[in-house]
Amino acid sequence: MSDTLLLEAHGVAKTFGRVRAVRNVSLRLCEGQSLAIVGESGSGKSTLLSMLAGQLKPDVGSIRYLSQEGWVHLEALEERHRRKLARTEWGFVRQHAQATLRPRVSAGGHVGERLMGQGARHYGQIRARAQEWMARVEMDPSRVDDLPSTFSGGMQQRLQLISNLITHPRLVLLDEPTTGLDVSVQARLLDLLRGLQADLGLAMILVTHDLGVARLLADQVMVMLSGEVVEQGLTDQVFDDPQHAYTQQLVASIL
Amino acid sequence: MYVAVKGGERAIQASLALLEKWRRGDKDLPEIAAAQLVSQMGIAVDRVMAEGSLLDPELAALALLQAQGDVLEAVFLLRAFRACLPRLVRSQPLNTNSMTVARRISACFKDIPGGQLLGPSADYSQRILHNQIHSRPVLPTPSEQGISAGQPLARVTDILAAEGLLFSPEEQAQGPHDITRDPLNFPAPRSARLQALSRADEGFALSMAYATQRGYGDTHPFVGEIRAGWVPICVRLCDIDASVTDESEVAIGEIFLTECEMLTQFTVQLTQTEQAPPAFTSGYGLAPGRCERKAMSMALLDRSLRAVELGEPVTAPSQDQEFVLAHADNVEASGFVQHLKLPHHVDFQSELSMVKNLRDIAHRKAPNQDERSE
Amino acid sequence: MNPAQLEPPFAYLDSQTKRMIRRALLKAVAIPGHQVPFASREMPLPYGWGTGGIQVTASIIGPQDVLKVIDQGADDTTNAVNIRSFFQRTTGVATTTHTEEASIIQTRHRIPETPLRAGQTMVFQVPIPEPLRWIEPRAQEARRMHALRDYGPMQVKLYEDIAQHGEIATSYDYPVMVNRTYLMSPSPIPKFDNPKLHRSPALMLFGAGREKRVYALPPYTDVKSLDFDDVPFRIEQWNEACAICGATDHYLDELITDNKGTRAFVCSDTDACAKRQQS
Repeated sequence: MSDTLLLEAHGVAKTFGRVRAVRNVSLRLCEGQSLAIVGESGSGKSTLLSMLAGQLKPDVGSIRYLSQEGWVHLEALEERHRRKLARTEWGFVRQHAQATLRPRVSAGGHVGERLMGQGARHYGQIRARAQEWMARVEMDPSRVDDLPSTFSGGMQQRLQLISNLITHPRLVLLDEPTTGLDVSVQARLLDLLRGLQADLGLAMILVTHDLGVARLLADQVMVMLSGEVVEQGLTDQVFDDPQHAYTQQLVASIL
Repeated sequence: MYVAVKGGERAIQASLALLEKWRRGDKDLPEIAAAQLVSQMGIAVDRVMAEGSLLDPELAALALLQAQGDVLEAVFLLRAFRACLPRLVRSQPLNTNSMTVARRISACFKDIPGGQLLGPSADYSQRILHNQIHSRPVLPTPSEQGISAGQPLARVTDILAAEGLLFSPEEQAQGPHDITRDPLNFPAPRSARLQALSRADEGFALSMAYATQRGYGDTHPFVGEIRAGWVPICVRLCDIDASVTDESEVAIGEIFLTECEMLTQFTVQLTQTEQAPPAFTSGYGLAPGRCERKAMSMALLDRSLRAVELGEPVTAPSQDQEFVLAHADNVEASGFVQHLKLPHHVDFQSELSMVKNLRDIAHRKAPNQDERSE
Repeated sequence: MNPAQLEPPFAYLDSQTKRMIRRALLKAVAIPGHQVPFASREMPLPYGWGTGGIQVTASIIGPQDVLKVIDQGADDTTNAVNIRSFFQRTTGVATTTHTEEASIIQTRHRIPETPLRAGQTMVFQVPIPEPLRWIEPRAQEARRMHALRDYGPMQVKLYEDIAQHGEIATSYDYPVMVNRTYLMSPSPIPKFDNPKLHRSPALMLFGAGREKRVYALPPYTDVKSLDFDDVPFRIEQWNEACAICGATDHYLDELITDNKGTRAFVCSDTDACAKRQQS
C-alpha cells in the first residue's frame, strides 16, 4: 500500500426532491488502499458510491481522481473521458450481475469486451486471456463460450468481476458484491477478492451493510447514517472500539 | 442450358393495365365522382388530408379513388404530391378560440359556458347498420350554425389555468419546428412531436394511446375539452408581399379542425430537487377534419411523451419518444414493411451460403460434442 | 387546382430541395462514413423502395449524365425498371445498361463486377444506415457511440459469432471501418462486394430516404471490413460457374429450375455476364 493519494472527495452532497441522500461527505483513498462504506439501506452509501464512480454528479462539493494523465475532477468530467476511465482505470461491480451481463454475450465476450474496446483484434488471444482470468477465479475455462444464464449466481458475480479486472484497473468500486449469495459462496468470493486485491494492488471502495465483509476486505471503514458519516477510521479500531452510538448499535447486533 | 428470363418491363406494363381495370371495376356502374366522396364519405377524405398533410378535399378524394379506397395508399399519393409544392406563405398560428363551433363538449364539468353542444356525432346513436341510407340533411354552412365566430366560448382549460389549477410550461422562444423541412432528431422539441403526431397513422396513435389507459404509462385522463369547427386562416399582409410593411392580418379562408385537450394527473417534478405545487397537466391533440378519435389519441400520447419534462420515469413504450415517433408515420411504415416484397435474392443467396457454411462447421464439430475444439 | 397542370421540375425535386440535399452530400463527402441527416421528401415510390437513392440521384443528375439503374445486379428487375422509367420521364437523360458507359449508377444491393473508373458516381439505396442499429436501437445512444468511437460492442458481436458458429455470421450489409474512423453500413450488398469499396476511384454516395440520412465515400478512401487478425474477412465462394457465361469470379444467383429442385447458377450482374458471353 502506498501513500499516493488516488481519490479525494470534499464536502460532497446530493439531494433528491426533499430527501438529502448524502450530506457533506469527505474522504481520501490512497493507491492500493481499501475502504468499506457501511450503513443500512437509506444511509446514502449507494448514492455516494455512484458519485465516486462518476455516474452521478454531486450537487455540492468536489471529487478528484488521479488518472494516468493527472488529476481529473469528476463533477466536471466530459462523457468521453468518463467512459474511457470507466472502461480502463476503473471497475464497478454491482450487486446483481444480471444488471450488467448481457444475456446473449458469452463469458469470453464479457471478459474480452474491454480489450476489444481498446482495439484488441486477435480472437484466439482474447479468448485465451478470458480463459486465464476465468481460471484465476476458479471458473472452468472450458465454459468460455457459455452464456451467463447457464452460470450460478456466484459464478455470474465472478464473471462480472473479471470483466472489470482484465484492464488492471487502479480503482474498483463494489456495491454489495456478495449480498444475496449463499453463505459458502460468499465466503469463497470474499476470499478471492481479498487475494486479487493483494495481487493486483487494487484500491477498493466497497459498499456493504455486512460488517463481516467490511472487516475482511477493508483497511478503512466509514459508517454512514442518514446521509452523513458518523464515524470513520481503521476498520479494526472502529469495530473493536466504536465511539458513536450508532456504530455501537451496529457492532452489538452482530453475534 | 439455362436461358435468362427477360421482360420485366412488359410485365410491369401489363400489371399496371390490370390494376387500372380492377380500379374501374364494373363498367355498368357509374364512376364515382370526387365530389360525391367529399360530400358523402367526408370522414375518410378528412383522414387522408390529415395524414397526407395536405388540406385539399378534392385531391384527397381523387387519391382515395385512385387507391381504390386504400386509405394508406391515398395518404401516400397525397404526400408525394405535396412533397415538392412551392411554399407561398406561412400563416399566423391558428387561433382555435375564434372557431365557429359545430360541436363542443367537456367531460370535466356537467355544464360549461355556452353549454354542451353535441353537434353531428355518432356518439349518441346505437350502432345498428341501416340497410337503407335515409336522406340526411346536408352539412350546414357555418352561418347556419347556432354559434357564430363573434361569440368565443370560454375554454375549460383557460378557466382552470386562471385559477392556477393547470400546469403551464414555459413558452418556447423559437418558432415551431417543421419536421418536413428539418429531420426529426431525438430528443425532439414538443412542437416537432405534435407535428409528427398530427400526421401519424390513426391506428397506431389509437393503439399507443389505448396502452396508456391500460397501465402502460400513467395518464388517468379526462377530456377537458373537444371542439370541432371552422377556424379562419390568417396571413399578415407583409408576409404575402415583401414590399409591404403593413403587419395587419387578413383571413384567407377557413378549415375544419378537431381539437382535444386532455387533463391528467397533477404532480410535476421540475428538477431533481424542486416539485411544483399540485396542478393538472394536459395533453394536446389537433387534426384537420372530423378526426375526433385521432385528436383524442394524439392528446393522450402528447401527454405521455411529456414524461421527461414533467419529471416522470419513462417505463412504457408510449412514453418513449423514439419508439412512438419513429414508428408513427404510416407512409414510412407501409413502405418499409412492404418493401420486403422486392427482390432480395442476392442477400438471400448470401445468407444461404452462410447457413450452409455454418452447418458444415457444426457438422464437423458434432462428433466431439464434449470437446471444445479451436 | 388541376394536378395535371402541374409539371414537375427537372428530376422531380424542386431546386430548393436539391440544394438542401447537395449541401448534405457535401458534408457527407467531407466526413467519410459519417451519417448526415437530411429532410427527406416523399417521392412517387414508397419509402423503403429506394427513395433515398432516388433523391440523391435526382439532386446530382444533369442533362449530360448517362444513368444506369440496377437492382440485385440486374437492369431489368421490376424496381430498377420503375426507377429508370421515373428518371427518363422527369429528366429525359440517356440511360444505359453498360456499366462502363454510365456516369451515374444507382444500385440496390450490388456493386457491378466491371471495375469503376474515376468520374463515375455510385448511388446506393440504403434501408438502415445505422450499422449499430441491431446492437443499440436507440438513435441517441448510437450517435454517442459514433461520436466517442465506442465500437467495442460491435467487435463483441463478431466475437460471439465466432464463439457460437465458428465464423462471423454476417453475409450482407457487412460493417466496415471507413478511413480508420467511422463505422459504416455499406448497404445490403453481399460481403462479396465489400472489397470493391476500398480505394475505389469512383465516388460512392449512400441515401436512406425513410431514415433520412446520407453518407459518402470520396474516391480512394480506405474501407476495411471488420474482422479479427486470426479470423480474417472472407468473401463468398461457389463451386459452380455461371451457366450462361462460365464466370467463376462473379457473384452468382442460385435459381430453382424445376419442381424437383434442380439448381442453376447465373451471374447476378446481367451486364457483366452479357459482356463475358460475347468475348
